[in-house]
This record gives sequence, structure tokens and C-alpha cells, in this order.
Amino acid sequence: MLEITNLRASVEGTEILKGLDLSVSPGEVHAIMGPNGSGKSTLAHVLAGRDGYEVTGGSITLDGEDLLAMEPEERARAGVFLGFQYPVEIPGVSNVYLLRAALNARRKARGEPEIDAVQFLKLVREKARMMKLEDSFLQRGVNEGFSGGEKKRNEIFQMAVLEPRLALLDETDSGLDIDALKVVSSGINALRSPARSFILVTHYERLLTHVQPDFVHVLAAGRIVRTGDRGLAEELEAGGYDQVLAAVNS
Amino acid sequence: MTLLEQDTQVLADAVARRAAANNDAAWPADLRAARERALRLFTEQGLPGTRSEAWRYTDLRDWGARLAKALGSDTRDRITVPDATPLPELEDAPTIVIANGCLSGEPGGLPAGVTLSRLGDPQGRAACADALMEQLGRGLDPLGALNSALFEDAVLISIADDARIETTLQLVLATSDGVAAQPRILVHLGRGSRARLFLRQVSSGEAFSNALIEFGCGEGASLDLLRLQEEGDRAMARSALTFQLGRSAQLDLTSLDLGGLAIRNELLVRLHEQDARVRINGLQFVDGTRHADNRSCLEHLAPRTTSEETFHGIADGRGKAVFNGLVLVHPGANGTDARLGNRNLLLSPHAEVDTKPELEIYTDDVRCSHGATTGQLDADALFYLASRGIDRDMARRMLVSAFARQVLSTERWPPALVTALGEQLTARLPHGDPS
Ligand SMILES: Nc1ncnc2c1ncn2[C@@H]1O[C@H](COP(=O)(O)OP(=O)(O)OP(=O)(O)O)[C@@H](O)[C@H]1O
Ligand SMILES: [Mg+2]
Repeated sequence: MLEITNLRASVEGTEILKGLDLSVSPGEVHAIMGPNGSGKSTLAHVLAGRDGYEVTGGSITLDGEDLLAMEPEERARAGVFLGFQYPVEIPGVSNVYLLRAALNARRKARGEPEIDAVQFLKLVREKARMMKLEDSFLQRGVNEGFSGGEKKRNEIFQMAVLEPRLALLDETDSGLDIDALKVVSSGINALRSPARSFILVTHYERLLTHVQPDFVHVLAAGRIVRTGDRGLAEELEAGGYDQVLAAVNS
Repeated sequence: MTLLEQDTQVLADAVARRAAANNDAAWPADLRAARERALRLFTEQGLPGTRSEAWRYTDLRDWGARLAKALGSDTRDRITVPDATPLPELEDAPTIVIANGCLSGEPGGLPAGVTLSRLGDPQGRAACADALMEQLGRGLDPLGALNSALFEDAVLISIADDARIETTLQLVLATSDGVAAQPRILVHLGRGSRARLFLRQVSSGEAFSNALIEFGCGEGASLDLLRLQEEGDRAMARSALTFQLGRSAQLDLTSLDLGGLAIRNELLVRLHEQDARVRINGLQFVDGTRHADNRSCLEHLAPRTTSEETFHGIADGRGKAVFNGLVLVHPGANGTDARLGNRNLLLSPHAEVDTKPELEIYTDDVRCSHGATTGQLDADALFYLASRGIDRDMARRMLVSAFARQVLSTERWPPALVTALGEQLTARLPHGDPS
């Protein structure tokens, strides 16, 4: 479904991604781990189409379509969802308003009519309950004054409403308390399906005990340097990046 | 820069002719004398030029030309007066219409506790004239002098002591194409009274309006004022609103400037006695080649007085938005709490924002803060919305509208009205929501 081949990308003239390859098939969960500053968020942003990242080589296709040729909103409508490492606060734009606009944008692009108001409310209420978010969250400004953990839960809530085909979750588990981690993990698990794929960027093996990954990759210095199964995450947890990277380099 | 001498003379002559024509022999002699003094003052000073600090950003040369032209042609009998579009919750509100500076018709349905008097009516004349004389004794700036020399009527709205008026009163200032209006209004809130006033400014074509409105709030009085300026896009309008707040009096003002080619507003709030409070939420929006200049001066004159002003500016196209906010804390105003914030959104590289929030403090025991920011739409927020599938235009529209709506508070006004105003804002703003 997603094919990343020899991807090179720079920020402000500095090359961050240096020939990255990754292939994700439908229904798979890929975890990406890696040291701070190795380029994990850069990869997520390049996939979502953020300005300021210059792709200098390689290709990305989603179901055979050139993702890099699409605007960020087109990618979203094609089913890409980015759960932000640092979700943005948008005072004055309520959560529900954002979600309705997002759903309708997708429907409009497909030539479908706008979502029925009653059906929409039912949908968001149900998903909010699943994420243990009070109804009052729906009316609040997007992430406005939310705690760190609430922001992350809100990202998964949005994902649940938008039902993407490919979810990129950038450190959605960081800053969560134990209960919130369970809520977020079960939110992710509830959305797993044979047609939907996940890329989970994480620093903690703990998330992967709740959400079983099919693959674990190590991203270092702009490339995937190792790929394995859950065992790799445990190895990293035990030995740290130095040990694992030393083994790669030798 | 000053007006060309020739233009100045043409304007002075036009003003003098009109002043003579408007000087009603039935009005009290002292009032007529005061008007003559105002005329002399205006003739001597003319319109202020951009070298004067207060008028640095608003060049009145075009205003002078428009004024001279309007004063020169008497179209009074043939004009049509523009209407204000009705808003929800206010369809049946008692409405006072000041058309081209004169009270239009007899407003019906005024609630008990509200009296309306006007200078043109022998019955209310004395009350109006007294209030005006007090004002005229206080010194006038050139545009104040112009209004004082030329006003054709003055209206006094009085709220009786302890009257709690829950019905919203509407006050509409309407100016017609080709007319120079000088509305003059006085509003008195008696002790312990409460009132809600919705002030609307509308116009058509090449209107010129120079309104002076003075509010006096007695001890413990509470005034909620919503001002919606929707002048036509060729209008030039200046308004000066002054407020005098007595002990524990409260003013809550929401001020929305959406229209007009050239707009200048001056707001003076005197927190005259202890525990008086004012809260101001303002918005000005300019696009095209439109210009809006909002100045406010909040004077803390007594202990434990509070002011909180939040003013937002949005400038698109080649529009220019000017904000100047001064908080002045006088000696003895101990325990003053003052907050002043101005935020501006620049939507186009050709738009301009000039902002200057100022504090002048002459006592130690105060809590004051002020700040101003000018920036573009938040790129992170735009990307966040895009990443949810929302296209760029829609995302911009959402952020601009959210920024504008932040000044609308639902605490004081009926939710349906606030919603309608919010929709009106969104429709008026760049890429107004077509759906
Ligand atoms: N906008 C930017 N301007 C300059 N440098 C940037 C920018 N964005 C990212 N970088 C740099 O790119 C490198 C990779 O950053 P990135 O955010 O992708 O790392 P990461 O792997 O997500 O790290 P972390 O685990 O700390 O989240 C870092 O050195 C970072 O400083
Ligand atoms: Mg990161």
C-alpha cells in the first residue's frame, strides 16, 4: 500500500532523510524507533506534506499513486492521517467544527453530499466515549488548553472519526499516564483492520505490549538501519541504541 | 501635512453657511452662543493634519473635500435613508433611528424607565440643552467643534434611577449618500439602573458622519453596549464615544468595525469614581483600500478601578488598520487593575497595521499589562487543518473567523444574536463562507 523508496529530504538545506526505504502492506502495524533527532518526525511530516521539507530524491507511492505530487489536504482525503507529536492549539475552532469540516471536505472531494447532522453527532459522541473524552471536549477549541495527555487522546479520537487508511502516529504514547496509554492503545487496536495500516513512532517498548506490531524498525541518521519483530524493541529497551547501532555498523 | 489653504477656505465657508442655517432661533441663547464659539474654533483650527500625533495615520484631506461637497448641496428632501438589516432577538426591539443627524419619527414601545427627549422638541429642550451646555463647556477638538457648530438636533436618552431595562434598545445612526451628518446623542443611566444598548451605524453611498455620543453612568449603573459599524464601503465616518463612570458603575462594550472606506473612532472612558469597571472587546476589519483607525483612552481616576480591553484587527488587501490604546492611571487611583491587549492579523503583504498600546501611570499601587502583536495566520495551524483534509481556503477562513469571533462574548448578549453576529463576521471576512 505504501512504498517509500530511497527517500531523501532536507530541512533548510540540511539533509535529514538519507535514502530511506519502507514498505507497508494493508493491515500491517509498523513501529519506528530511533534516537532523538534521527528524522522520525521528519518522515511523518514529509508523508503528510508539510511545507519546508524539501524532497531531494526517491519516491513515495500510496496504492501506486505518487503521494509527493499531492497537496497535504489531498493526501488526507486519500486516507493519510498524521497524529502529531505536538498537536496544535487552534483557539476558536471547535473540535466538532473541525471534524465536520474534515468529513465534509472528504465527501465533497468524492462528490458525496454533506454528512447528516444527526448522524454526525452520533458518530462523534460514540468515538468520544471510546476515547473517554467528555462531550464537552467536542465544543472546546481544538486542543485549546488541553493537557498533554488530552491532546494525544484527541488525536486518536480524530483518527477514529476520520477512519484513515494509513495512520502515522508520531509519539502518541509520549506523555500519557498509565490509564491514558491503555485508552489510546485500545483506540488504536479498535481501528486495526485488514485494510488499515499504521506507522507508530515511539520511544517506548511499553506501547508495543499493548499494540502488537508486525515490524519494528530502527531509524538512525536518516535511514532505516534495522528491521525486526517485537523482539527488536525489547533488545533496544535492554541495550539502548548505542549497542544496537554498534552491531549494525560493525 | 495641512490642508491646502484654498480648500480650507472653501470648507470654512461651507461650514459657516450651514451653521448659520442650522442655528435655530428657538434654542436657548446660551446654547446658540456656545455653538458660535464652536464654529469660531473650527474656523480657526480647520481639520487636523497628519502632523498632529493623534491624526498621524488618518489623513483628513479627503474627508474635508467630501464634507465641503455635502454641505454645499442640500438634498435633504430627496434622500432615502438606509435601513439596518434586522437581527435575531431584536426584531421587536424598541428602536431609535437618528437619520442624517435628526431623530426620525417617534420611537414607540420604549420600556418604562426610559425617556427620550430631543432639542427639536420644546418639551424636552431644556433637559437636552442643559446636558449639552455642560459638554460644550469642557473644550472641544476640531471635529467635536464641527459637530457642535452644525448639529441639527440632539437626543437625550435617560434611564431612570434603579430601572432595570432588560429589553435591548436599538439606536441606529443612518447616513444617506451625499449627506454630512452630525449626530449628537447623550445617554444618562441613573443610579443603580441597568440598560442594554445596541448601536448600529449604517450608510449609503458617499456618506459623511461625525457622531458624538456621551454616556453618563451613575453610581452602580450597568451598561452593556454593542456597537456594530456596517457603514457602506464608500462612507467616511468618525465617532467619538465618551463614558463617565460613577462609583461601582460597569460598562461592557463590544465594538465591531466591519465597513466604511475611512473610519475613525475615539473612545474615552473615565473611571471617575471608585470600583468602576470597564470591559471592552473590539474588532476592526479592513480590506480593499479601506482604512480604520481606533483610538481608546481609558482613564483611571479613582481607587480600585478596573479596565480590560481586548482589541483585534484584521487587515487584508491594501487595507490599513490603526490601533492606539492608552491606559492612563492618575495619582490616587490606587488598586487600579488594567489590561490592554491588541492582536492583529495581516492577511496580505500590501495591508498595513499600525499599533501603539500605551500605559501612563502616576501611582505605584497598580496592576497593569499591555501588549500588541501583529502576525500572519499560524502556519502550524494551517498545516494541522490541511492534514485533516481541509483545503487551504477553507482553513484560512476558519482561522480568520475564529480570530474575529474571539471578541464576541455570549455572556452578555442573547446567544442567537451572538451567533448571527458571528455569521455576519464570517460572511464579511475574506473568503466569506458561501455555504
Ligand atoms: N524546521 C526545522 N528547522 C531546522 N531543523 C529541523 C527542522 N525540523 C527538524 N529539524 C532537524 O531535523 C532533525 C530531525 O528532526 P526530527 O524532528 O525528525 O527528529 P525525531 O527523530 O522526530 O526526534 P525526536 O525523537 O526528538 O522527536 C533534527 O536534527 C532537527 O533539529
Ligand atoms: Mg519527533
